[in-house]
Parts: sequence; structure tokens; C-alpha cells
Amino acid sequence: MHDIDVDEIPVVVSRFEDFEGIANPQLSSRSGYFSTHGDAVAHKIASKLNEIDACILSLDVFDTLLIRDNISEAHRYLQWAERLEEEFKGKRRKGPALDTRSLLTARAAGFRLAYRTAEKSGAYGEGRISDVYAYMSHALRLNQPEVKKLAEIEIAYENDRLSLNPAIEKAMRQAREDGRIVLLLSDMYLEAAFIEDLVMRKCGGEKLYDQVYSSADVLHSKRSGTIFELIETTYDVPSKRILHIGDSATSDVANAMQAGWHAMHMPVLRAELVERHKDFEATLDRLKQLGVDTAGWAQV
Amino acid sequence: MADGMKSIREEAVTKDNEILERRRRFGCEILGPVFAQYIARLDATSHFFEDQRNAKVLFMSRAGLRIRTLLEAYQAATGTPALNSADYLWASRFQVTKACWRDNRHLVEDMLAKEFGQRPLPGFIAALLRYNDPSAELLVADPTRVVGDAAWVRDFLNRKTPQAKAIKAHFEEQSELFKTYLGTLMEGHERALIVDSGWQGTAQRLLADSFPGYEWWGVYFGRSGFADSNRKYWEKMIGLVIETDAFDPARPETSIILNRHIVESLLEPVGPSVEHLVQDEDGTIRAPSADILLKDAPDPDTSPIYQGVTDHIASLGEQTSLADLDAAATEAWQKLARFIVHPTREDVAIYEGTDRSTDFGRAGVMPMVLPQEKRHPGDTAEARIRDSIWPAGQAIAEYPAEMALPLQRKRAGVDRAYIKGILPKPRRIDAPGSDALVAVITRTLDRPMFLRRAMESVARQTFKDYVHVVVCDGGDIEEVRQTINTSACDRSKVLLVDNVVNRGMEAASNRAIESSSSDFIVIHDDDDSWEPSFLAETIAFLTGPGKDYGGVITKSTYVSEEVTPEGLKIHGTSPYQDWVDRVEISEMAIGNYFPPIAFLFRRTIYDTIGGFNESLPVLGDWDFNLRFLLEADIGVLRMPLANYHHRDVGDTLTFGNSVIADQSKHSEFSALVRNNFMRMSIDSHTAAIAQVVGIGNHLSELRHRIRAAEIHAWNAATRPIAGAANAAGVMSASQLEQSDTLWVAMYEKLAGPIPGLRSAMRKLRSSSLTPDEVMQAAGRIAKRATKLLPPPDFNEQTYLNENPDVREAVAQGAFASGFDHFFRFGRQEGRARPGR
Repeated sequence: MHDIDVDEIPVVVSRFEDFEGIANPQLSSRSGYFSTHGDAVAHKIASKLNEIDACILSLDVFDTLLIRDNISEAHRYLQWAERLEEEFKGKRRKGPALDTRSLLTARAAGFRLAYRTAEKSGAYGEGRISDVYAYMSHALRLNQPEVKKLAEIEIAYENDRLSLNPAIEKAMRQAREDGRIVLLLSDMYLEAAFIEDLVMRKCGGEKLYDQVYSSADVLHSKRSGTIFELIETTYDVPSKRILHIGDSATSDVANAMQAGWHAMHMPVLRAELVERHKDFEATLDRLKQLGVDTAGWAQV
Repeated sequence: MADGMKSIREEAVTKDNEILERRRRFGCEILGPVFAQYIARLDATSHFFEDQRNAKVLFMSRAGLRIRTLLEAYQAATGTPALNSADYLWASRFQVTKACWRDNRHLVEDMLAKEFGQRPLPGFIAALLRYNDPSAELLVADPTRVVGDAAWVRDFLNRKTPQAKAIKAHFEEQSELFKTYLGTLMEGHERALIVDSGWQGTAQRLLADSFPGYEWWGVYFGRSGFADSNRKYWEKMIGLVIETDAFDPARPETSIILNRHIVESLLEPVGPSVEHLVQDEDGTIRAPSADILLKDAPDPDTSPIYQGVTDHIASLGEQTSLADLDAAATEAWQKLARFIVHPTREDVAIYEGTDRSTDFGRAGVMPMVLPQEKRHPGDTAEARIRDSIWPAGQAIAEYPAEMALPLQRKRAGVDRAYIKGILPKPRRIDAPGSDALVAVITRTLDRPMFLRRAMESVARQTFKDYVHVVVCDGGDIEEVRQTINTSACDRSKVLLVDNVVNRGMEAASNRAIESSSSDFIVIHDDDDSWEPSFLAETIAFLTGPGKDYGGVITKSTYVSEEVTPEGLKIHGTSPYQDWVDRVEISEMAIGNYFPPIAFLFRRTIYDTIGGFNESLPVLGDWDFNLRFLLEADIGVLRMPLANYHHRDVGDTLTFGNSVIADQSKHSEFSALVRNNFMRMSIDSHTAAIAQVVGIGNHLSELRHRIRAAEIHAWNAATRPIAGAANAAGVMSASQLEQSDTLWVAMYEKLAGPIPGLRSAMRKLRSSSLTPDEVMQAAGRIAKRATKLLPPPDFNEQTYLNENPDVREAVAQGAFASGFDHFFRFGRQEGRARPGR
């Protein structure tokens, strides 16, 4: 494992400090923060919704509504592959054994191809997990039940690693009680149905939102900025009556504000980023030991 | 006798079988895993495009044929399903170019200019009309004319000549046929995936530009371009193994960029390139070449490498996993990268006789390794390496291993620190405890044959109180160690410093000097040499009569040499800067005039002036000498004890000295050194030297101008003679003699009044002298002339190289120059007059 130079981690942009104390460098996890500040945060969101007489509360999903632990993305993929290897171990199948290295290699190649061949809107396009599985099915000679298993393990794994943000949950309930529309906007390779499944599981089967939009389905994204206009047109709501909350300073905050929306920043903590970087470095070592080529896909 | 014959024949058969088996094993063990990984990726990618993107998978002729065969072999071996709607695309870059004619004429013009530019016109016309059944008169064209740029092609095709009409008719026909053919092929699809070997995807680009109704993707073994590559559709060109323009030693698979023909030759079927389509009576459009290409049946005797690859793929099974394929490919790529970058003679033998055919309407083949013989007068090994499609392979075929190795490294770009940043600390190896009086410093980088000579030059010194510090400036330390160990030198006197990465010559000197603690220092470049008494004489001087001097130089000998396959060949020697009998700041200010090999100096002065300037890639010795002279004087020993070697014959670029090979750098850094000294005058005691250095520049300029004026005057004087030369500008022997005589007369006139010279010169300027009159005048002037220097159009060095006896005579002072000899005797003796 390599030493991490903490100063190399980019500092969270503080000008979007909408929640008191959230950018405090001493803070070590958002779970702790939301358990102590949950009511205050929900109250602040409600106040903001009232202040702008909002019609829509729009929420980012990953690292906003559903909080990730400090496992890096590369490590998540590795653990997903290990679970699959465990799942397939000892089962008779036509084709080679499904080992972690093969699964990871195929997934990485599948992602590259899915993103590269994705339909684009300008320079932006999102790969789809279903495309990744399709590639993997050929590369690993998987049958249909096995492909289904890839998705099942993926969703079960994500479910284990994500936790519901209690402050946002409260804000969603309050907004719906107040007659506002609640939308979930995600820039993600997981399609909307996939995300819905996850959110419903985390909310105990209760539907606390009206619609999920994933860039994997709609060719529009927060990153490109085109999703904001799509929402305004679809719901016929003026931009100034929409509030969006998310963790990305650019996609969730700057781009939303650029579109005329109101936005609140709920950043991933600096301490959490440090932990993820450490985890990433350790994972790279493990992947190297496994003989997996990490070029082009492994990231924090 | 009969038995003997039989045994020779049997031996030859055995030998043939051995090489066939070596090739098959290379295919099976090295290329097999590499191709298995590529084909597995191709299989998954093609299925993905078929299923998820509704693409038509098109195996493009010709490489696509063998790729498809390998893919089907892989699918059969591993139980992978076949593709659903794959087909061949019978086309080549040339055919696609023709197909673009109707909708995209400028593309056709560009392509034709790019492929045929500067080639003879008849070949161009023949290639374009090859399938048009041309009459004999249509093919007649002026062989001295060449194809020009795109505008030239446009103009040529726009003319109303029978040739232009026939070519345009052919293009029109092919455009129409191809469009219909493509429509049938792509029925039900809006997206195509071309499968081909690589590398710039030109055919894909042409198709995308000319048939935009379809979305064109390409999947290749590798995608790789050059600085001027058109990358408009780069994102849609998928390189399954590499997507990069340069070799990166950290990624062995990128080595294929250094010899893409390993892939190309394996995938090249037996059969012609597809360059035209025809329509049968029933309306079917087909490529006539396809029938031949589909019969491609490589067998172990004709294609042993391909056979090896198919053997490997057939050995895969249903249980072969991606991890298995990756692990085998990773190991194979390490070996293949070594094979490509540093091939041995045995490696090259694998591809001996393997030809790559040319395409785009041109007939002919290009061997992977060129025969090691002159292709034309003036051809050199260096030129063949440059022209080879596998330069590293050509290098080992041309030179012994130790001489080829640095060339191969240079070609692969691995002999320089390509990663900028913090340099690792140099490692000091094998340090003998040393309090020697002299430190001899040798900097070396990938030149074992020179280093060996340098080691032996130092070892031969009669003075023995020295330490020889050898700095390996970024090359292979093991190579250096081995060279030292196998040289005739006293190992206990050698100190080896590993600079780890290349730091430049001056930095290498400083590191080496810091590694020793002697009173005296001398830089012995790895390509120079000494006479055995150099150290004895210089140390005796500085510790005796020259104790007040900071350093001393000896006289130097210029050694002209060449690197040949047999080793270093010396062509001749002559005194170097023989006029030097003192070292003055004012002369040094004009330019450096003694080589480092001749200069031994005291460490105290080195320390005082702060060592060598590490920021200078060239001329560091001049800068050092100037600063040195500010502190101390340099004595001169009038004994030629230092040998200054120059590769000024043969491969001057590959093995050249910086003086010869880095001329542009010398000019650039000369200005920097002068400027530095001028700036120093602002606040230091060096004002005087600064001024002198500044003036030195003007003196140097003045010398150049005098020379230019001489040439100008000579040109003017000989204009009538040159004007009488033939149409090609070639002067007759008599005209050359007349011109030489005029040159000598002009020089003599500058030296002082000689009776009758003026009228002789006037006569010599005439263009109507007979050969006899010229000879008589030459004889008269030769008698009077005292010092004959070569005229501007006489190649002095070549004359000396080609006439060793003259070189010897010049060295002994019998003649002022090679030209002196030629003018007085050489011409009459029938020796060649080398021009410039």
C-alpha cells in the first residue's frame, strides 16, 4: 500500500457550503453528520423549497440520497467479481470457470465498448450496464441465467454497500406531503429500473419519489447540462421553481444553477475522499497481483 | 562422390526442415497466444456490434480473410457461437478510392496524390487502367514525368486526353458498381463494423466520408498513426490490442508499432488486392479477385508461422478462460517485444525471405529484411536500416551484435530518459579506494565498440598512477560492465558510475569527477584514443617546467574512420589544428580549437570555476575552456599524443560525433555561450573576456565572409566556363581543369605579384580554350604556385579517403592538401576528381 499525500486530494469547493459545518475538515464521515444534523438539514431544505415556492425537488442519487462507504470504484468492481466467482464456483457450466480475473477483464472491456459506442449528445454519452453484460456474455460465454446473475449480484452488492441518507429521506417525505414533485436524477451507467430497484429496497419498499432519470436511458445528463431543460419541458415548470441537491460541484450545482435552477451542494467529505484514495491504491496492488490490466478503467 | 552429393542434399533438406519448424514454433509459442487474445476480443466485440448495435460485420479483404479464418477456428475450438450475418467486404483502399469518385472527387485526388506523388507517370496510368483493357497507345507516357500533388491530379484528370477520359470512365463505372454492391451487402443495416488488421483506418475513413448513409465502425488489431494522420473518425476505430502511436517499454504490446509487418505478413493471403468489381450478365456484382483469395490455403511449408498460430488456437478448448488467454498473451508479449526491439540474427532468420506485398495499384514486394548488399551505387548499411520495414532487424543483419544493440535501442527510443521528472540518484559501483594522481573520465552511452577501444587506450598508458572513471550515462550498465570486463585493461583502476538515466555529457563529467579525488583530471571521450605516453608527458610537464600552468594540451591527430560490419575501420589520419602552438584567450573567444582528449588540467582550477556547465548539450568543452582561461594558462606540448576520432565516412549520422552529427545544436549553443559571457561582464572581473568573446564572434564571422568572398570571386571568374557545360550542368574534364587552374591563379595573385599571371588569368576566363591550351596554362601555373588549397567544388576529404597514399604524403608535409596533389599529379595519373 502506498502512502497518501493528503494535500494531493482536491479540497471540496467551499463556496457551495449550503449545510452548516459540512465542509469542516475535521468531519470524518457524512453518516455521523447526518445522524446529528439530519433534522436541521431536512429543515433547511424545506425552508429553501418554501422560499422559492418550488414545484420540484430534484435529487442526485449516489452519494446524495444513497451514501457510499469509502470503498473505491475499482474495489467495488473487484468485490463484485469475487462474489460472482464464489457464486459460480463448483457449478457445472458449458465453458470456462468464471474466475475473478476473467470477470473483471471482461467487465472492463465491456465498459470501454459500452461507453465508446454509446449514443452521444454532443460530446456526452453514457454507457449502459446492460451493454456491459451483453459484452461479458460473449467474452465469457455466459448463458441467459448467468447474465441475469450478474445483475442480481450487482444490485445485491450495491444494496449492501449503500446507506439511505436520513436527512434527504425526511426532506423527500416533507416535499411530497407539501405536494411537490420529487425527481431522482442520476448520471450513471445503471439504467433507471436498476436504480429504482435499489432505492425502493433502501426505503423499505416505499416509493418516496415520482420519477427516476438515468443518463444511461435518456441521452441527457447533468454533466452535459441538457437534462435540466428536459425536466422543465416535461413537467412544464419554470427553472426558478426547481431545487436540486447533489454532491458534484459541477454537474449538480454549477450546471443546475447555469440552467436557472436553485441548487444546494452536499459534498463528499475530504476525509472520505482520502479514505477512498487509500483504498484505491491498495486495490491497484491487489489487481496487479491478480494479473488484471487496470489501464483505462480502474478509478477512485 | 554420389554419396557426398546426397549427403549435402540431405543436409540442406534437414536444414530447411529445421527452419520451418523454428518458424512454426515461433508462430505457435509467441504469436499464438498474442493472436488468441486478439481473436477472443474480436469475437466478443463483433458479437456485441451484431447484437447490441445491429451492425453488419464486414471482413475486409485481404487481411479480413485470414482474420475470419482464425476467428472461426477460435469459435470451433472454444465452442463459441458463430456470427449471424457476417460477410466479406471485397475492397481495398484503392478500390474504395475509386468508389468515392462520384460523390467525393477531392478525396480521390488527395489519395492518388498521396499514393502516387513523385512516382513516374507511366506507372500511375498503368495502375489506374489495369482493369480497363487499355490499348497500347493509352499506356504511352513520358517516363521522365512524375505525378504531382492533388491539384496536379485534378488538372491531369480534367484534361480531355484519351487517358484522362478512360480513367474517369473507369472511376465512374466502379463508383456505380460499388454503390450497388454496398447497398445489397448492407441491406437491413445502418451500421457497419469493418474487420481489418489496422492501423490508420484509411478505407474506413474514405467509406465514412463517401457513404455517410451508414455509420462506419472499424475493429483492428491495432490503431496507430503518425503526426499527419487524419484522425477524423479515430473514435470509431477500435484497436483491440493497441491504440497508440509510440512504443512504450512499459507496455510490451506497443512494440508491434516498431514492426507492424509481423501482423500484416501473417494475415496476408495468397492472392491479389481487390481493385475492381465487375457485373455479370445476370446482374450479379462481384470482385474477380475474390475467387483467387478464397482459395488461400496456407500450409505448413509455405506459411509455417501462420500454421503455428492456427495450431495454438486449435489447442484452446471450451475450458480456456479469459484469464488463461490474458496470462499467456502477457508472457508472449514480453518475448515478442524483445524479439521486435532487440532481435538477434537467429530471430531475423525467422522472417528471412518473408515479403510484404505493396498495394494501391502497385506491383512488387518489400522484404522484411533487405539483403545486405548495395541496392545502388552509394547505398550504405545505414540507408538500408533507414529504409527497412524492420530497422532493428536490419541493424542486426548489417552489424555485429554489439554494434547493432545501440542502434536498436535508439530506434526504439529507449536510450534516453523519456520520463522527465526527478532523476534517480546515480549509483556508484565497483569503487576501488583511490588516491591516484590523475582521474581519467570516460562518458559512455550504448557504444561498447568505442568504449572497448577507450579502455585499452587508457590501459596502454606508460604512466600508471591513475583511476579510470567510466560513467554509464543512461544506457545498460550490464553492457558497460561486460565491455570493461572483456577489455584488455587493469580492472583495479576502473571506477564505474551508473548515472541510471541520461543526464547529458557535462553532467556526466561532473558526476564522474566528483567520484574521484585526484590532483589532475582529463576527459577521455569513449570514441577517442591516446598515444601511450600521453599521461606521462602531460604529468611530467605540469609537475615540472609547467608547474605554473593550470593545464596542458598536446598536439592532436585527426583520425578519419568508419563503422563497418567488420568493426572500426580507419581511413586515414592528419594533423588536427596543426597551427596551435599556444593557447590564447583571444583565439579561444572565436571558437574552441582543441579537443578534450588533448587537455589535462588541475582539479584546483576545475573547482574554482565550478565544473562543467550542465545546461549545455553541446559546446560544453568550449564554455569550460573559456572559463578555465580566465583562471589559468594552458601550456602546449608539441607532440601529437591525442587522437581525435571522427566518423566522417559512411554512416556519419548513426555513429557520428556531436561535432559532425549535431551541427545545428553547435550553432544554437554557440550563441548561448557567447551571450552568457557578455552578461557576465555586467558585474564581474570578466568584462575583458566578455568583450573578447563578443569580438570573437565578429572575427569568426569575418573569416566566414572572406571564405564566402573567395567562393563568390571564383564563381564569377569561372562563370563562362560553367556556362559552356552541357545541358545537365556537367563540366568536361578539360573545363574542370581550366576552372581549377583559374582557382590556383587567383590564390597566387592574392599572395603577391607574379609576372604574367594577370594575362594568364584573363585568358583562362575564356570559354573557348582548347584542352591543350588549358593543360599548358595549368602546367605553367603549377610551376609557380606555392600553396595549393582546394577550390569550393573539390571534395578534399573524399579525395584523401579514396587515395590513402596521398593522405600519407599530405600528413608528411609533401603536399599542402589533397588538391595540391591532384592539381600537380593526380589528374595526369587518372585519379578521380571528387566534386561537391
